[in-house]
Amino acid sequence: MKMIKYIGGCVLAGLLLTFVSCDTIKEQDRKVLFTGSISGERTVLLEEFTGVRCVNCPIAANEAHKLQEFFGENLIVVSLFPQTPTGLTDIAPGDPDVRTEEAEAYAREFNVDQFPNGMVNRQSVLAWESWGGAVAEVVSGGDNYASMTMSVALDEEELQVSLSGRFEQEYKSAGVINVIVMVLGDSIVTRQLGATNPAAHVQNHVLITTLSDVWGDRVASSSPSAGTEFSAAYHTSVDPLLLELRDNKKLSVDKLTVVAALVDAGSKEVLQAVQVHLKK
Amino acid sequence: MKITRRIFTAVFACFAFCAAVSAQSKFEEVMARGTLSGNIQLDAQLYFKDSLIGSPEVPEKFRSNSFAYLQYTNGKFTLGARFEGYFKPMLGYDARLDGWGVPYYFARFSGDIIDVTAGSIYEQFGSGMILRSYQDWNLGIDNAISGVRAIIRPYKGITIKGIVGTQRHFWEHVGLIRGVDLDLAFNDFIKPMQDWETRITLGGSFVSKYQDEQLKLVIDQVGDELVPFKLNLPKNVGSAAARLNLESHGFTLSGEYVYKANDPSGENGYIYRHGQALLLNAGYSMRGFGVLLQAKSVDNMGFRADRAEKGNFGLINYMPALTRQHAYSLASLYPYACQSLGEVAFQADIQYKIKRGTALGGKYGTDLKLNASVAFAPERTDITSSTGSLKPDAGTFGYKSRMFHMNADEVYFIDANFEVAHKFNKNFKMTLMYMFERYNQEVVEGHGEPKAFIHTVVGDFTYMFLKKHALRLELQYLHTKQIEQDWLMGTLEYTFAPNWFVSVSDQWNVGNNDKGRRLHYYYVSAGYIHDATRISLSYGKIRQGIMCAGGVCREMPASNGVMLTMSSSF
Repeated sequence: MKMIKYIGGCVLAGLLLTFVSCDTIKEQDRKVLFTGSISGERTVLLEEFTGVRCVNCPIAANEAHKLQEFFGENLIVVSLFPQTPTGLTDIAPGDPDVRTEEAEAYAREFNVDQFPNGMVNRQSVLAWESWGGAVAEVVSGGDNYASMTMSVALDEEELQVSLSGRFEQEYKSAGVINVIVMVLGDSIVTRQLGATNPAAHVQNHVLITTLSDVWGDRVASSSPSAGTEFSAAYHTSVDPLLLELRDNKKLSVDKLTVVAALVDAGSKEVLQAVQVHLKK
Repeated sequence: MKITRRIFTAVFACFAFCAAVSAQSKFEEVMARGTLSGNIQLDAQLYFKDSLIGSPEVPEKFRSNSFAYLQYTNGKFTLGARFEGYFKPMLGYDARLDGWGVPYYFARFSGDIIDVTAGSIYEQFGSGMILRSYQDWNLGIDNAISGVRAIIRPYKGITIKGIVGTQRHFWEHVGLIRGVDLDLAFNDFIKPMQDWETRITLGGSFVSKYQDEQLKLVIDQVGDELVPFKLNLPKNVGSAAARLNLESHGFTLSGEYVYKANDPSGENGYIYRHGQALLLNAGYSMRGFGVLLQAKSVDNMGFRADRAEKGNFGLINYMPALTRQHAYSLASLYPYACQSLGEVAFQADIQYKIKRGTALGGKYGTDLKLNASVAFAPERTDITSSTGSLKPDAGTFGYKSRMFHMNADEVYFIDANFEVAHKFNKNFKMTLMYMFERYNQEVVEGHGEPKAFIHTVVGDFTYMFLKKHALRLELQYLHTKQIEQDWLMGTLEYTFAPNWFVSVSDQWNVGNNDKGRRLHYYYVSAGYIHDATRISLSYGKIRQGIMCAGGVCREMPASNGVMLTMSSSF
């Protein structure tokens, strides 16, 4: 009799545990319209770690593209091609080398060695399925700490970048405030495993280099108060930015984009971002 | 009065001193009855860049994985802790392991009726398909539950377990896991059954996980517009399992069924379909003969503490492998990893020992092993995809599927192998093996050849000469027209018992269609073994591949370098 009580008690406890600690979502409740704001003052930076031998990376790239279409100017996407692991990153002979030391540095700092993976404002490394939610959370509910504008002057041989901004509210930072300036390239054709056309896949917003230090250049001290202004200027020769493509061609200038990201050097959080597409 | 007070104070001080000394002695006496045990291990590698085999430049040059585990047991109490250090983690191990600390520690009381553990816990319910927290050093997996576990044995044959805690995720913890398990060994507590030859065991488990809801955005194309939806994700996901085991006169029959409620996750594409798995085993064993038949059907059974996690990490449960674990290198060149999203698998294993003294058995007997396993994709219908693809849309039910209904056109894996082991005399023994494999690289590795047909033969010869000296020669050949084509491997190992060994081996991609890729992966190793201590130093090249244990695999990148392994138990 005691035994039956023990067994019965345990079964009841288990059933109770199951029914209480289990949420069954009815079909009509699974998807609800997202009513959060999809535009705002703050521009989000999405950096995807990818590789030409990464089979699932095209799926992630499609997701990034869809998010970019949806969020418009509120989202900037950067494709980072690290140098390792070589099983995912080795470039096919004759293809443009889209790998960079900067991307490798970012991968090592954030402990990313599996692709695809991405970061939204460098706050955590996320699988591609989580990118949309993370971007929406920032756009619809994130604080806008600073505004920033960038202008670009381009001639035949030289690129000049100047940016300026100000803190709209006091920001308690974990370190000094830096700005990272990146140059991205579009329409770069490479082989890509998993793509619809694996022999000739078009890579977009590929990081080519940084004009600033890879971790950024200081523009403000830590914990800037509201109204603190900042600025930075860069110039570089255009030629090194023109990646060598297939058939000995070079990337055209009008396929370049300059992206500037304001970051907290301590927490690595991206506070604001801005981009300018170059025109011939 | 003064004198009385002084005498009293002196007597009291004396008494206090004696009590303290006595307590100290008592404490030491109690502590001395306890035992301290543990083990330590260091795996380290010095990396050299080798662009020929794809071995990358490693900026640190030297990387290591290490741990030291200490356990103190005194009567019914046990304390344990494990230090781990990854400076940086060796290639092939997840970069998130980088760091050091004491991620594992526990205190345990094991009484006759009650057993309580607080701290880091490894536990398994049934076969593990509903809950398994474990550690595998070689795979870099540790999903220990940090919390409390109670095991109650109110009566002989009745075991009740309860566990609650968070799951270790590298150097952090995620989710909240709760579980209860009941195990009934009827023969132990039902008096009429105590004398039966047939043993019956019934079990049941309930496990649920809690994770805060995260914003999962789905953007649908509605006409010309992009419309954002938010998925309503269940914070609590429950699962239940039932198992039955029968043993009688050498026969065993067992089965376990697991059901998991809706669990949208990154792994399953955020669908709301439930998950289920059924594992059936039937076997017979007697002296010199054993047969085991297994069948498994799995559908959407990835159960993770973090719904966004993928791969080998964050799993609450474990899908047992229905394939043979091969020890020979070429036979395990293309191993199979269990597909928790879905598979239908079967395995048959027969072992027979030809008696010694017979013509085929010889003086010592001959061991025969025949094993075959196969895994198919499950049959799925009514896939809820707006684009007509095989991948269902996020936020939908997903598809329809039934247990053991398989897509016979999509084979994941076939392995049929036969092995003969014979000892000719006290000096010489031999093992021969043939294996046929059909391997779906596209499914298992995510890319490559969907139908690779592979034949492998192995010869393993050991000759003992002089007292305590043995020479082992291992020859392997793998033939396939797919993937990297043919491989040839030879290993020569010299052991001078009981302490020393040295070996040389070469794995040669002899038949690669690309002549420039017909590479040699040579490897030299030497080591010392004394009791429970083992030290080995190796140099050589390791081919990029996969390393599996129990159906769980991790990628191994190509590497060239010097490897050091030290381990000891005490």
